[in-house]
Amino acid sequence: MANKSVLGLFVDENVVGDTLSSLRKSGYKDNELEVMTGSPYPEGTFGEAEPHHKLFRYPIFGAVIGFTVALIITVGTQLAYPLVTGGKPILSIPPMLVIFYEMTLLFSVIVTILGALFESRLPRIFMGAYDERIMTEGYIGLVVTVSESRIKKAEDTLKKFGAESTKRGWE
Amino acid sequence: MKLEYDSKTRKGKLIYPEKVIERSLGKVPPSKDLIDKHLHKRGGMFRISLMLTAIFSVIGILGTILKVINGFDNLSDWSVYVTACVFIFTTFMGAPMLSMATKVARGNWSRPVSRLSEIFCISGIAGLLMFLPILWVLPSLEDGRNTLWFYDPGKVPAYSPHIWTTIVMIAFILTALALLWINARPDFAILRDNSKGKNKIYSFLSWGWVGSTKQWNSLRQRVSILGIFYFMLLITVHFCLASDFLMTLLPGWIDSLYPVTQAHNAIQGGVAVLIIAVFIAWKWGGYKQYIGLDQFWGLGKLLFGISLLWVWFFISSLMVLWYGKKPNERDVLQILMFGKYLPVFLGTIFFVFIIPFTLLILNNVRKSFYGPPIIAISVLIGNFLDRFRHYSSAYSLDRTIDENTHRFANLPEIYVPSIVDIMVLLGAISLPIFLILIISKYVPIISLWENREYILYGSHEKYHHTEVLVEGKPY
Repeated sequence: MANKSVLGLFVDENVVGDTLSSLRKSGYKDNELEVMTGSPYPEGTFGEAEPHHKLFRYPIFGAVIGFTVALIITVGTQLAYPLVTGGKPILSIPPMLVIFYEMTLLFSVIVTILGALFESRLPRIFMGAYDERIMTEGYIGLVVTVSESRIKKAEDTLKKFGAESTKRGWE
Repeated sequence: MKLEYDSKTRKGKLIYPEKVIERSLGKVPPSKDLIDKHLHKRGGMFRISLMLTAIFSVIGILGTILKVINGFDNLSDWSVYVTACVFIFTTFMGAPMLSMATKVARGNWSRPVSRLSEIFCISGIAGLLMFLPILWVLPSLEDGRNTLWFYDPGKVPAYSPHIWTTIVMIAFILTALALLWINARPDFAILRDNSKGKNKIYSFLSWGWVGSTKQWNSLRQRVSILGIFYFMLLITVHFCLASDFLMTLLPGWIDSLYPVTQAHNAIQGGVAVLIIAVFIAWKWGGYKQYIGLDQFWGLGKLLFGISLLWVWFFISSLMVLWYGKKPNERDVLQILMFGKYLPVFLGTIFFVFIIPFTLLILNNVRKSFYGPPIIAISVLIGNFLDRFRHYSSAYSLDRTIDENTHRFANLPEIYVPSIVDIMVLLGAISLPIFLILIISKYVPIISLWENREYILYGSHEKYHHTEVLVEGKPY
């Protein structure tokens, strides 16, 4: 069964925290709950779970690719044209370092940017459980995304804790 | 109808971020005011500036076309062009460093000016466009000059400097544009939900931003990662430009410090050009409520410190050549400092070091609205003279060697710019400003979300007989 989302709008940070705790006690998991704000509140303000992201993997992944490409280019060309320059070994590290550095950085940048796009997914055409007042008036949104059978209970909990209004993501 | 928000009963409609503001000095929710300021029709001065920079940019493009028609063979013809291109990288492209550095170091004072600093990233497009013809100007390694790169006639391509500098340049511009977009994404979402008419553009640019905890967390991480990349690439770009497009063209100039010196000059020029932009936004942009003495003071202190560093770099490089005293090292000193370019050299020192040092040392100049911008103009003049001294002398050098003295037969005269050079110069200065003005129509010049965050974490509190700004720095 497809998941559905419901959004509750709140004006007070403490109330959001209390609602979040109550939802957790009622059996909702951290990955089913999401807080939306117009400002970057300090992490943990609402007692929300610390988000897990894979952002650091992108630059590292890019760096590994870039370094490997640089290694292939430099070692490959020098072995293909084994010319002794200035009495130095064919595979001398110092002149290769510049290319290692450049390619590692270039690929890290490209993969980080691609990663940023990928993590953001595609632009949302339908905003789902979202309300403009989060960005315009500073309301705090609490989104619960669960199966259809549990959505009603979540909506009731949001209302019970004083959500100014609720909005269903699929409507 | 709902009541206004009451902080005691915690009921009523919350107009963001009233709850925090009521404890601070501001009376109007700033985000609303900032949104209105951004969305309102621009004034006559903005339109005139846009028109003038557009005209000068076209003149610059015409100048570039004339230069291309004239050919790439004569290096001295391109000396002012190269100077102008590198000037973009040592001023406009240095400005974003302030935002990146203070974000990584979590300096709150720069929040009101951080977006202005990031907007300069767009000038990278102008820099890249100007850089492309230089790839045809720079001779291949076939001329036998010293180089960092692996080269063997007939077997290994002679265009390593061109290839690697282009790669690093592309990475630099990509990082700059990505940083600008990622930093502005929450603002695009705020504008998407507030604006009429431009909604589709902001919808696209905000790329599905809803302000979830995960998105805010990712934003912080991405800005830190890309900010560090930006700094690394700034150094690398100047390393490539200085070593391949300048030093190798002056035989005998062997100095491992100069590429870093140029990167330092870029940061100094960046802070200077940012101070001027902040001054314009403060004086004529209608942002006096948001930009205060704190920002000018902070930028002034930074400019002072960086200007002191200028002399350290200069002396360190000078000593290598001065005490080396080989014939070609003496030539380099003659060409760059004590020969025909002496007036330019003295002008550089005066504008880029003596003026900032003697004036910014005074607290009442440093801590003022008008002191730092005036000194910033001096630094920019000095920065341009410095680029002109280096690049125009290297590109207009007659490389004939006197066989008796093993020194250059002719030292270059000061290069006098032609009409076409002046056209190019006007264009090089105007095109980045034009791009900045255009982009400022879509990207708020004061970050909406950072302004909110500033208010969220800070409040003015009574402290004994005075009032202090208490600022929070969350982990």
